[in-house]
Amino acid sequence: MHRPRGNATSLSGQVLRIEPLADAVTEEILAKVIFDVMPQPLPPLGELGEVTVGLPGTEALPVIPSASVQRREGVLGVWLIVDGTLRYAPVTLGASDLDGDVQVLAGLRQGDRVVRYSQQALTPRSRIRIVERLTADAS
Amino acid sequence: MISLAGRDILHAWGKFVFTGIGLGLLIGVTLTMAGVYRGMVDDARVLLDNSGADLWVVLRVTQGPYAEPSSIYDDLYRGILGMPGVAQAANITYLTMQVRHSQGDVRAMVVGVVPGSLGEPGQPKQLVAGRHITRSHYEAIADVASGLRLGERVQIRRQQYRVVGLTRRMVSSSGDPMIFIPLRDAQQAQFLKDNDAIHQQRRRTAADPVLVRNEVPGLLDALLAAQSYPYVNAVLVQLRPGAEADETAAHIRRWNRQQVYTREQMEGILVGKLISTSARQIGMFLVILAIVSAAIVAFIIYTLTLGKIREIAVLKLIGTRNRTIAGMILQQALGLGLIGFLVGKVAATFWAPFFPKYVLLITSDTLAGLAIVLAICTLASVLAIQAALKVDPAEAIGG
Repeated sequence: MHRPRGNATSLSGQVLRIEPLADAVTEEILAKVIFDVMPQPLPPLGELGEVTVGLPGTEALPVIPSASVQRREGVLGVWLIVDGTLRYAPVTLGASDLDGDVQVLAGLRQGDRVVRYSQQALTPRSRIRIVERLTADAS
Repeated sequence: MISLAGRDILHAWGKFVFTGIGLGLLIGVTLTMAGVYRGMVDDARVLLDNSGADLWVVLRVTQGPYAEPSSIYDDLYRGILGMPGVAQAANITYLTMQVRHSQGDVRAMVVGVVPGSLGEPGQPKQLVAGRHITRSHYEAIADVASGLRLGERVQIRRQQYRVVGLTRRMVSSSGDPMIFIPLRDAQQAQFLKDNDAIHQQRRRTAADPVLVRNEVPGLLDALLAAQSYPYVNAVLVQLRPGAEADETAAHIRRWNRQQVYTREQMEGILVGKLISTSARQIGMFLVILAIVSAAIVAFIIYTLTLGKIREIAVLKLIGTRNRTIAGMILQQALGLGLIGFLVGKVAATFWAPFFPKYVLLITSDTLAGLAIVLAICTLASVLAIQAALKVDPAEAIGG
């Protein structure tokens, strides 16, 4: 999909080839995209577009919002709510998407409740009050 | 036995209570001032805590990245990752600037973090709304103190960014809210000039006869392409569990030829150097406030006692012991101090959240405040007691 700036038309295309050179810092790589149907007239050279690359679907796995993932003493994990108390559960994460969801490969079971947002850094002794909605000043 | 002090207070309780409240507001200001100082120190500490780093790698001969500008090459982190004891290393940039949004601009510290993988040092630790940065460009996470909302667009130098997440208490050492953007964008924001400046720079390079050589075609293009800015301000390092910070720091200093600060050293730089002048300024103000408060308490108790001089003379006339009279004045002084302290504590707690910068009221300050107030009241009552004991009993009838 290729969207030129300034108008809302989106153009579909395919990745033609991927340059075998990555940016040393961001590890971004250049990919060349070819349009399915050549737009007429062609966009001017140097025009910026926003590109989203569609990947093949993955198998269905539980997902959690990435905002719930924390790093504690070097271990990635989430805060599990068990009977109103907090327990840190290390997790193994899989693929993530652009909407901030990330697959959980191991560490959680379906139906587990995890902390998504918290006002402060949590500890196992933190007293929590669960709110289903965020208040206005944080929305 | 009846309480002389209690009876006397009941006799003119309005005067006593209002004096106490007035004194309380003064004590409240003093407590708040201490809170402002604690807040400044806490801002510096949360800056370090939130970065999630154990070591800061900065340009040699600088005390960066917070106290001094520091720029190091952005591929240095790879070498640092190979050092023993290093678990993670991530580039980071800091730039304090005015960030423009739809209603105006807000002073903020723009932090460039490595997007993508979760839990990298430098990334915001916990959010209060939204999500983490998932795209490598044009997304931002803002602190709620900036007043920005989810979905809002902000302009940072050349680019616009969409706010996708919100944090709380992510502030710079001067209390400015943080705005996190992807590293590449932040590098551009910090080092890339505006279009006119780039044009000028290219024109100057192209006009330089030393650089434009017909016998070396492509030299000018290569030069123009090399005018990029592969710098970051620091590399944040997280240690492996059990690794010794000083040892790893020494390794990086020796082999990567950069300056490295540990958490304690960084705190020393921030608290001891960066905010020391403003902290001393507030400390001076606090001392003066304390002296003024003490003087006012002393005067109030002294005048309250002088106002009762006839009554005291009567007490003496009927043979009341000096200890009882002194006890009455001391009890009243302490009572006044307690009322003042309570009012001050309540007032400070009430107005602290309305301050634009963080005000941290800590229990040990409050307890120290209470002790000082009671000590000052005791000292102040000494003057009044002396005056009372010198009263001639004859004054009661002499008038």
